Amino acid sequence: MNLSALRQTVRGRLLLLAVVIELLMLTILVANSQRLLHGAMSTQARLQAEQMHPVLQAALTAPMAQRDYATVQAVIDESRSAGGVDYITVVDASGTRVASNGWPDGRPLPPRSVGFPLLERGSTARYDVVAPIVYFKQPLGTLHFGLNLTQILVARRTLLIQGASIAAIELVLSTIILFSLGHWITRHLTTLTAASIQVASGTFPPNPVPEGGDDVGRLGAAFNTMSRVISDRVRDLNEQAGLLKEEVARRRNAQELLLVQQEQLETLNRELEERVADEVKKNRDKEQTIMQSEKMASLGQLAAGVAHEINNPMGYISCNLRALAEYFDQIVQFDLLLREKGEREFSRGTLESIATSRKSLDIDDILSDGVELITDSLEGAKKVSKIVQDLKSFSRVDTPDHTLVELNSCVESALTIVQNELKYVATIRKELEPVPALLCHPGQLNQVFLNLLINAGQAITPPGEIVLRSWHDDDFVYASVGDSGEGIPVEIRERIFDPFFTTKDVGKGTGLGLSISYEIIKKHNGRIQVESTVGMGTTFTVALPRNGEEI
Amino acid sequence: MKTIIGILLVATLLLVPSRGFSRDPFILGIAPHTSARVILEMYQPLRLFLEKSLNMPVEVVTAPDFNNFARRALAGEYDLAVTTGHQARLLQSDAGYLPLLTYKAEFKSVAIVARKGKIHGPKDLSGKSALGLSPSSLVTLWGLHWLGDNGLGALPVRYVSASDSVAQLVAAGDAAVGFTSLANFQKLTPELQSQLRILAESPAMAGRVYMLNSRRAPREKEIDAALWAFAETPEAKHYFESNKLGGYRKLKPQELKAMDRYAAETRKALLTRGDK
Repeated sequence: MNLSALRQTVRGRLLLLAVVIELLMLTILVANSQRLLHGAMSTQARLQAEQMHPVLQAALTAPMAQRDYATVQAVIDESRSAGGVDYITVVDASGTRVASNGWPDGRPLPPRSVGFPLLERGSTARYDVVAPIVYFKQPLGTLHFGLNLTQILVARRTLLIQGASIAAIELVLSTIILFSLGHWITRHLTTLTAASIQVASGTFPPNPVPEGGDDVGRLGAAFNTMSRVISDRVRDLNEQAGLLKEEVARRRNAQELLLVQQEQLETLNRELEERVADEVKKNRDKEQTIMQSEKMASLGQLAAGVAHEINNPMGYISCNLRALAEYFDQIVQFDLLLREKGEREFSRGTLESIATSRKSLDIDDILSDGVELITDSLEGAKKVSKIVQDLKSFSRVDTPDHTLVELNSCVESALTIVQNELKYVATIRKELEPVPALLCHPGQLNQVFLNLLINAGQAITPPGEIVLRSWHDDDFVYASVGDSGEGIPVEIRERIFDPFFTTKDVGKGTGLGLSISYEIIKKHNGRIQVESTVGMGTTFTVALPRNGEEI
Repeated sequence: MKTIIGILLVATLLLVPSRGFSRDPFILGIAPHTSARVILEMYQPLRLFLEKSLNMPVEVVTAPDFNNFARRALAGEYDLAVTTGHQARLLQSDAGYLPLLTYKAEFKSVAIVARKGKIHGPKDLSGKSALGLSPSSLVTLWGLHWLGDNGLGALPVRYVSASDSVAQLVAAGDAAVGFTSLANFQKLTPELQSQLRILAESPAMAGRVYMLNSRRAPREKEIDAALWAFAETPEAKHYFESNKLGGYRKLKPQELKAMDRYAAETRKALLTRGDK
């Protein structure tokens, strides 16, 4: 019989449970019987020993007092003949063995047994008793006898064998009866199980289960009733489930539509936020550009105003200096003539007085230095005029927004503005070729080159070199500003034209110079490119189309 | 060297556990005038007293019968034998025992018959039977002499082991006459006594006599003093009173010698009869 198959059925489990419980109880019963038997027999043996001792003592007292050892021997012979005693030996008060039955003469007598060795294997199955023979406190001798426990062991073994046999038979019979009873009780359960499986698989109504008057029959009737009720309920539930499904589907569609709309709204919201952010950024860039342009325009206007205000005084200063030079030259001519005539016509005293005055007044030094002073002043005035002219040219306040300009003049104007600053950090090398004039906004281009020159100067660790080049081809006019600075790393090269991007220290740059330059060149339909090698330097090249009329 | 030996000797004496008694016990042999249990019980106070006084273990023993007792006594098994006068005389003459003392109460043998029986005189015993204790007991010997003196020497005599057995058998009619001591007769239960009647009574004889084995002669005075000291104890007084013995007394001159007649018969009986 397969144990695992038994465990899969209620009948099998009940059968196993009953068998296990019965086996357990029978084991306990047999073990308990053994225990009780052992206890009872031990007690019986102990009682027998306790009873034998006084009897033997009573029988032996008189012959021991009389030292009638023949009678003692007769008493123990008689006592042992009744059985149950392996040996009886009597020893007198001096330790001499005076009578014995069942124990070899030369063999030492065994000590008194402490317990009953009924459960010990290999034991002698004997209980040795050593008891004094005393009468009125007078020791007459010692009684040794051994109770034979063989009968007790045999009885215990018999009980064990019979108990185990009865238990085994009872177990087998119980198993058969329980199995048959379980089969009889559950015979209709197979049909009930099949019907239950049909119910579980959704087959309604299931095949009817046999009904009857007994418990199982009533169970079948109850199952049939239950099946019918469940069938009705399932039909109702299916209808309700259909309606519910439709409702759920409708709600799910609505929910999905809501989700789509929500996603659209969120997308629109995000786009709107991005647009707003973009517009805000553009407006901020425009504001910055406008502010920078306005600053440059103000600077140009300021420079133009200053130039204008300086230009007029410098006009008459230069004119007066030239007149003064002519006058001074006439004074020198007059002094020369006076000295030639005086040597011929004045007296010696007059000549000496004139010489003394001439010397005290440093007339000779004044005449010799005066020419040089006037010449230097004229040179300075000329330089101031040149600067004023350059400032006016850079600001272009006196030129329209769009005019034909040679690109080299823009480069020169910008260089004029920053040259004084750049001369401390780099040498300026100009390789400017003649290029055709372009229709452009010269003030804005001046700003572009000014930015490029300022950046070049800031990129250089002194001493360095700045190279200005210009050239042209059929389509474009080019101008480049190269420096021997530290170069621009590749990772930021793409961002240098972004507004507010700067690698300069705080306060040194706004991050708008290249961004504005890019926008200016872009408005002129040109392009601005950068070539840079880290540690070698950077070159910005501006390319402007020759058909500048389109601007 | 002597010092070392002395130290070792002292150490040995200190290490060896001392014992209260010497190894060999002092054997107090009591003639089987009654059952062994009664004898053991009766003489326990004396045994315990002697153990203390003599500082040695004392054992009370008896014998299955008078003949056995006499043989063992003659063989020197007892240190102190308490026996009837004729055996005391035999032990004195044949084994060198030393007489110490006896009881004050007179010892008499009696012939008892059933009170309601038809025995009224010795002549009524003709054709009957008699009961005695051991053939060598004093009461039996006196009874046999009494039967002979009355022309009944051929009367069959049976012997039993105890005097109360003699009384019961006579009362039951198993024998026409029985011989016992007057003291034992007086100790019978009133019911039994009421069924019996004393047909004849002997003159006073030496009763139980304390005879010391000659090997204990070196301690004779000590043992004699112990016996007299015991007589003053409450246990001894109770013993004397309950057994109507009256206490100890010294033997009279020639008192044992008067037992020569019975002693000779005892000696003869020991040689010719078995234990019974």
